[in-house]
Amino acid sequence: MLSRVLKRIFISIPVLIGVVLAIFVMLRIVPGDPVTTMMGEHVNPAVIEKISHEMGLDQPLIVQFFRYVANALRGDFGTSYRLNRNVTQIILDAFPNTVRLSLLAAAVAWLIGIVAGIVAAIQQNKLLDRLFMGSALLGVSMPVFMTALVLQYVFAFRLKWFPVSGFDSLRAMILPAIALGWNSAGSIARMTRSNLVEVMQNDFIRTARAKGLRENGVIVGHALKNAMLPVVTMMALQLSSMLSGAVLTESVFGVPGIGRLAVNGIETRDMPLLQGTVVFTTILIILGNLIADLLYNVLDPRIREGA
Amino acid sequence: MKKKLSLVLATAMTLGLVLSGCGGGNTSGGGGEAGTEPVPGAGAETTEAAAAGDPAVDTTGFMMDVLNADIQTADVQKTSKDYTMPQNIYDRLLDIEVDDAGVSKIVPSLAEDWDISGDGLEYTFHLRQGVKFHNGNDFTAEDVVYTFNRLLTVENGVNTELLDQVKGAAELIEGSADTLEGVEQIDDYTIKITLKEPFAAFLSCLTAPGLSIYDSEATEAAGDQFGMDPAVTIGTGPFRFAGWTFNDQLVLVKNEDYWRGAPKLPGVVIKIIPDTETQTMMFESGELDLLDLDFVTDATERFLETYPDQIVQGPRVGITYFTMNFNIEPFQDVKVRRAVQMAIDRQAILDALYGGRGQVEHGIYPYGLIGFNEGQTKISYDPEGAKALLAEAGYGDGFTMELAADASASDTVTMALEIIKEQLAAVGIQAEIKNYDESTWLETRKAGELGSFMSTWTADFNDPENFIYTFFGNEEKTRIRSINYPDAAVMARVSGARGIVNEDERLAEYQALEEKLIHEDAAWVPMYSRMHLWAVSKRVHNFKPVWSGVGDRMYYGVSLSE
Repeated sequence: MLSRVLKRIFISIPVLIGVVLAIFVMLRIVPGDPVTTMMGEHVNPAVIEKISHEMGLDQPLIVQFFRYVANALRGDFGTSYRLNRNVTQIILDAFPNTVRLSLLAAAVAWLIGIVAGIVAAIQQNKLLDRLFMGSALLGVSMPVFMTALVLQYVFAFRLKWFPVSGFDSLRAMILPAIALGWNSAGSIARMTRSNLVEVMQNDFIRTARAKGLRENGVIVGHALKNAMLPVVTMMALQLSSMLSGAVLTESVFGVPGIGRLAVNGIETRDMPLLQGTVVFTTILIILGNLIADLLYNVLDPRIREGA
Repeated sequence: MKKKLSLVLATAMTLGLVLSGCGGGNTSGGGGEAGTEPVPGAGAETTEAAAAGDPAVDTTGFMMDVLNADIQTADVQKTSKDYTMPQNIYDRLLDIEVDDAGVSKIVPSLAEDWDISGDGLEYTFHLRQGVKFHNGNDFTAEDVVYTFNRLLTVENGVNTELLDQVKGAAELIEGSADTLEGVEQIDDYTIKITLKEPFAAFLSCLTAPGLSIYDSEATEAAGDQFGMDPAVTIGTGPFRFAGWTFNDQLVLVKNEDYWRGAPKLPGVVIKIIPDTETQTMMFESGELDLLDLDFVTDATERFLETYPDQIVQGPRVGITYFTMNFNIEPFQDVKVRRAVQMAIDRQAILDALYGGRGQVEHGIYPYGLIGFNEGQTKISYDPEGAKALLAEAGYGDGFTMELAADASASDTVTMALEIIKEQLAAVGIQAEIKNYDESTWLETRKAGELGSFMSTWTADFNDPENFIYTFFGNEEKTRIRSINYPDAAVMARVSGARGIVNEDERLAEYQALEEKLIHEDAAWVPMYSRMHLWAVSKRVHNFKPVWSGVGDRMYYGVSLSE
């Protein structure tokens, strides 16, 4: 088990280096001088030159890159050009909000997704099944920002059940969480249903029924456990996709999280900030996948024995 | 059981994410302070209402305002974009007051009165006594000397041009002098400022947000945290900077000891909301007291209909202009430039995009600015005349040109460019809209290589100098605007006009230059100036948009009813 974890972490290192290199190079080949953008209109050209020098922007790219990696390894992602603050600090300040949002969204997705999937499987091809699977399809197809805008308009603006924006109370968090989780709920529901339906065809289910177990007992006790394995992997992987969805959700609902930072970074050519958020998010996604892998391990004895 | 299973799974994933969060935090935050906690406790706590907001200040009853992007700093010596905080937490030596007829005059603020020597070089200011900074320190002449020296020497400083006429400013910036020679403390409440040459707009300059006065002691102690950490960002203004949750909100609390009398508002919360739809809905749900309709121009008509009694407006002293780069074919030819002036129906654009709220401009100095000339030559919309001029210039078959759009500009600018494109097509000019992101747009423009673009210049201070010198002051000024106006003799006059001491002569020269540049040389297309509209909630009273510079929000004088 431990060696497996270490192996996974080891494999992640080249991925991380690749991401850092890619974002670093990409940000430097696009046109637009960050110092000019940072300083705005009323600035003396001599000041621009001085600052470019101070930030090391007049150094060769390769020097800049290694300097960045060396600092990043020590946990220093540099100072944001536009915000004049330590990037690590900005990210850590914003992180709790993104975590809250993602976790709540995940809870929404899992709860709704799994329950709907099970009900649909049991009621296969009946009204509830069609209703749930229709909604799931809608959920999967609708982009996150669209869901966010519709929910905001209907439930906050029209019905006034929730505040339009903000993230400072549970009530304010509900809409952003649903907006972000809805998409995943759709895929989870669909996957739960199809797996469950498939598992129900198996011999051991027939055996269970033959033993005289009630249908609910068969489903929960025997079928569900087997059907959930792929779903669990998907759920863990979706935590990663939620981080990207959070970029849009955070902007719509005004949540001060990591997604907003990325948008800020892009808009103002704030290389350290953007690099910092991308690297940080990459680490999260790698860890998310690692956890998915490990969970699978725990839940499926066949893999455990194989390893 | 179903529920139990999902509960188990959820808990496992929660822990997983919290762990991954800590992992990420450790990897990236090794060098940071140990006291920063990336994730508060376990996943269960995520449901608690503890998240954002400023725990130190109770903001109940505060006025709610909104900005669409967070500020960079509240240190106005380091920003030329974010004037909202500086205008409310600091004071200047002088202020501008605009009466209802749009006539503006300079009035005392931290300087009670002043004398100007006959040669226009020496300004002596008598400072107001008994004014206190938010930390209790007395405001004295020393603070003025400190503030002006800092403006020219602070790291990453901008706005230095506000003082570049002061004697010794260049030497201080270059480092050949240690102090600003032209700013002298005579006694605790008197300072003398000496200019290197007469500069008639100097008093107007002193009203600019960039010349806000800082407390020498507190600012020096704060170091680079000044403007970043609200607790050490000290001024004499009507409000105290009380909180800043990045990307979430800014908090101002009233200064009970303000020398003009305490503000009527207990405080102001400025939310940071990037999405304009969200801003509109927040206003309509009562979550906002103020909404700058410039952020949501497409909703303006609906707001005017739905909330006719809740719209406040004032002229935004600024001119929208359309450029033609003299370095790009065929704009060297004055006939081509004049043809473009005549081909654009500015009234139609103003009507289509802003419901006609504003007025078509014909020069450089917009309505409301000192020097605005009602009687100047008018540019009329005349597509036939434009075609004739193009034919005369040898472009009877038209030509192709670029309209450079800044992606970060508001949608209405893009729409205006679309309309301009159609209008130009009507006289045979094939214009193509090219989109740039903000950085590229700015960089290309500063290199002098940008195609035609439309933008707006708002007054930093109320003087024609702030307009004409910005665009036509010298070779560099006109290049960084991508105009590349070539007539050095005219630009020398523009520069020279700054030193004319006699006010009538000075304004006459500025108006003559405007005539020369815009009507003789057709150096740009003056578009229009606009009214600036705000929606205010029913409980807001006495909010007046203040036009100066970038910031329009002056909260002093505003009150809320219950």
